[in-house]
Amino acid sequence: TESIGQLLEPCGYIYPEFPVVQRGSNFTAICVLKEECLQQYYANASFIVWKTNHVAVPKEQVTVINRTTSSVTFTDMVLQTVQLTCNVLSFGQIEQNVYGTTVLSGFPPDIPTNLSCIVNEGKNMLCHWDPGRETYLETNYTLKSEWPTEKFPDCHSKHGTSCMVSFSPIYFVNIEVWVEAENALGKVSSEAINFDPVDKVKHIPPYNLSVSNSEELSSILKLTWNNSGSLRLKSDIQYRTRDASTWIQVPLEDTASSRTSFTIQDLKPFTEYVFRIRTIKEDGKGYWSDWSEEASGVTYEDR
Amino acid sequence: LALSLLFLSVARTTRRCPSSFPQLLSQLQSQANITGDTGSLLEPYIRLQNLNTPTLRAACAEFPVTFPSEDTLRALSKPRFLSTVQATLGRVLQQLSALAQRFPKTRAFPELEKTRGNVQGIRNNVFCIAQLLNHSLETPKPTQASSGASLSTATTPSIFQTKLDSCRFLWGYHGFMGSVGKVFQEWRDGSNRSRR
Repeated sequence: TESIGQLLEPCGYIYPEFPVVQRGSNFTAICVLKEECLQQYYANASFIVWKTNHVAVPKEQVTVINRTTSSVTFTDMVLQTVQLTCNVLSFGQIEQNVYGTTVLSGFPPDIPTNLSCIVNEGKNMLCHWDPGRETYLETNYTLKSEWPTEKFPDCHSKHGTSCMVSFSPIYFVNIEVWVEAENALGKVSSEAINFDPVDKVKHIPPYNLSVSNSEELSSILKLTWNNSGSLRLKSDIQYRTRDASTWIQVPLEDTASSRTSFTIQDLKPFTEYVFRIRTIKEDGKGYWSDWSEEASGVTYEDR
Repeated sequence: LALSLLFLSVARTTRRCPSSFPQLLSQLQSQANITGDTGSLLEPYIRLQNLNTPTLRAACAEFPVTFPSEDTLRALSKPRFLSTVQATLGRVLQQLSALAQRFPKTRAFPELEKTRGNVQGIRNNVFCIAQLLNHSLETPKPTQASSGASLSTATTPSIFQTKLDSCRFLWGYHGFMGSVGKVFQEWRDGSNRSRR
């Protein structure tokens, strides 16, 4: 150390200063002592002792380059984090720390794959992807979204596998979305996907489901409900008797067109049935909504 | 989740337009249906501004801010039609922004932000369809009735007059979008006939 009372100026530096190394690769660092410190230490670069996590590095890995500079080489770096220090034996025996740094090792990001998005009706759009192998490094994943005429705000992912955009997706306009991944070892971009958000909607479940029976026909129950939004939706209807555990499926082809009512036939008279419904866009694009709240009704007595 | 639609730079990017003319026409048709529906903006505005009486509704519809009429639009060539729609909606966006600034922050009016997004989306699709047809979207000279979407600002209007002017603007806007939808429908019918 050069002076007292001020910021302590180190007597040497390690280069590179903040090394990030690809796992399994070789890595060399150098320590350069300041000329003015050589007299102070009664030493030179040959008196440098390299340490990793406080353990001396074998001499075979160390090379004295000149009076002030020593290098150390590591092959097949595997540890995620290594404390690397450059120390000097002053007067040939007193070990003094000159400089220290942290060596990080990891992988460049893989190209993100399997990017897909879901529009939660009336709320947000969530996109998720497969980031590939673990990088062991701080890696930023950014979801980019654009129209040909507009750029939307970047979405910075917290954990690298999904992102909920801050803007409301606009239906009937194709948007292009892709993911950029970046860390100290590299930057990559996923394939872009191009879609109309209206085809990626998970609708709010049907609501106000009500069941009514018919005095004339004891084998039927009529369902009515409300669909969310203004798009044409097809339905998936299931029912069971009150005490049954398995659901009976109304054939999907019977409810393939947009509707808000349906009559279930061939039911047992004077029996309580439970119903649930879910919806998806009429052309089948997007995601099924969650199931509606269940509703029940009792068929009329047989005459 | 409040609709926070932050469009950053309006940069012409290299992002791909759909390459399908029928798809773009279908999207524009759906957009025109949404934006032509007064329930998407005018009706909520009327309720929020307490204009919901027969007299005030009539006043709102009395002197609608002039937008290009349906006949005017129908008479235009395809390139001129697209340019007129693009330019008019550009002015609509300005008016909607002005309306948003005048609107008290305390009152939720999500339809306004949603409409701005939809109008922006229509302009995007118009850009794409013009690109597909190799038309350039030049800024058209104002047609006879297409000063469109500009509110009279000769003197400082009263608050009530401003409300009424905005109402007339929205009335005109919905009408314009209805007309645009009809012209696009004729494009679709035309392209369906030519495919038979």
